[in-house]
Amino acid sequence: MKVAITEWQGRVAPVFDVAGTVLILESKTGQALETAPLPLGDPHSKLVYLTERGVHILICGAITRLMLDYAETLGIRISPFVSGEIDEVWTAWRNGTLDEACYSMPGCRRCRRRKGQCK
Amino acid sequence: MGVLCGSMSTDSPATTEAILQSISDGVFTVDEAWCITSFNRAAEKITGVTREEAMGKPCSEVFRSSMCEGACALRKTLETGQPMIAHPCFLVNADGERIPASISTSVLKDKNGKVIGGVETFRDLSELETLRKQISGQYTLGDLVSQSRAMQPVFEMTTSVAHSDITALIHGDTGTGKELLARAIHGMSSRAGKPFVAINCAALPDTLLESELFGYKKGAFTGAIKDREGRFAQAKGGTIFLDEIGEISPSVQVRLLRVLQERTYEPLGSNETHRSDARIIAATHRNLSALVASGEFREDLYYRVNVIRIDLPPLRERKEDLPLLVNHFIERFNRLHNKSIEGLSFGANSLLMGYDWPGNVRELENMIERAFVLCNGSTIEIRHLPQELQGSASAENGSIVPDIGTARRSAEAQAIFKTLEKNNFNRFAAARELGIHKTTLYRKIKALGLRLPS
Repeated sequence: MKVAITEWQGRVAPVFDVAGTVLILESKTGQALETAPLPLGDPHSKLVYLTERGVHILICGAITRLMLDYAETLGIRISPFVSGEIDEVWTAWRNGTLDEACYSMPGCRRCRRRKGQCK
Repeated sequence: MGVLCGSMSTDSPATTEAILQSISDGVFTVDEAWCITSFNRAAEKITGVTREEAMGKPCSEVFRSSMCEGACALRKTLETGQPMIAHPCFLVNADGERIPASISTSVLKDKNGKVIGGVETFRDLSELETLRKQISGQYTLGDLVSQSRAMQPVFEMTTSVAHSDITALIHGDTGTGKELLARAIHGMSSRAGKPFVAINCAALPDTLLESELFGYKKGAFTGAIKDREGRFAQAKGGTIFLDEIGEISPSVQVRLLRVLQERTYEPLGSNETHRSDARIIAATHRNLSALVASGEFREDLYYRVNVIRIDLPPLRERKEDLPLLVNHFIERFNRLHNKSIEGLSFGANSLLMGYDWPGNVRELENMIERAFVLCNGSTIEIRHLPQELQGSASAENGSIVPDIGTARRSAEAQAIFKTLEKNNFNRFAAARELGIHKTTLYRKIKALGLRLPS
């Protein structure tokens, strides 16, 4: 299963809707498959691009509700409002600890809970 | 009591803090590592992040603006020393809402003039943007025009749907613009250069609908003298629009289900399996879930069709769009009929507002076109409108017979308007002549949506 993390300066990119780079990884092996530029402009095209790449899970920073709903219709599961260094976030996701408060963007812990991302 | 000015030091930290907390603009400061060092109350309110949560965190993860990643204003200011004023952007608050904002930045220096970070102020422009849209904005989507709040979810959903290939179901009363919406989705999608094929499932008998949809081979039935490709084949790479899908028979439902599930079908009289890559958009004015419950519509097909549903509101729920739609149709018919009609008279406009529009936008369009034929001047008057709008229950030329409520409202609107006009729009005099209280008149003007000169 392919997992994508939007990246900026070694950390999860702050806003998905304007993110420029994505890191695509394989969940089974834990290996990074590629770092790719995301389409510019319309944020819908970023999600379509990820679908075309066979991505099933997206870990990202802040994301607008419209994009969150659209990802759902495309069948992409999202862990939104995540912050932290890419390596740490990836390890946390593989260990099932991404829901911990230290990986939530400031002020977004409740938000992620409401969206059913946190246990 | 006298006021003693100058008794308080304006550069004390307490004063600065008090000022920061009292202003309505969001303000935060960062150190040279881009971590938040102060965060005022307005910033908390706009971003949805508390001061405690924000302090010491990277500003991009607290502020979450469209500029953070590629065009950070604060970085530019610290690099050049030049402040930035009222730069437009948007930020994403803790609830995932897109907040339009303007930001200003400036360098933060200590007493010795050494740069110790930056300060960013930002203003929430949500209300301003809403007002701007209300005043001047009109939303257009293909041939659909609206400035109604009721249509906003439709436009937002359409943009999302257009960027995917999922099957969509458009639900709306007759005349609300289901095909226009389907065309808009197609036009905004990556399939825009490919065919858009529309078929009204209710217009054709069963066997004919099957051959229309899937095509047939020569000799498949009497009269099939040569091969003919169906609508699915014609829509190759594009979009097929199945209007009135709630009317199709069980046998066609089965065949359609297969196309949706496996993307394959066989033309009538053929053993050869064809693949369809057409995107399917279906529409209905009926309640499909009720049809499923009554056994008239297959449940599995319902779930395949109803992946994303867009509900088009009837015109009576978005009457604020009437002036916009009227102008839209007048412009179009002026071009089409080579006329130069400028608009509707005040009275005619008032009647439109008082009508219930059971036939929706299509009825309005037909009515304006009819008025174009009858009107030889520059303004469409009440006399150019159909009888049902003028309060008569008689229907002419196949137009829809209004219900008693609609007829009553139209008659009432007309009577009120005429009386107001006669009394030079003096509400008090008009109320007296109508034999009703002034407040009743105000209430009726509001309820009927009558627009009066200010």
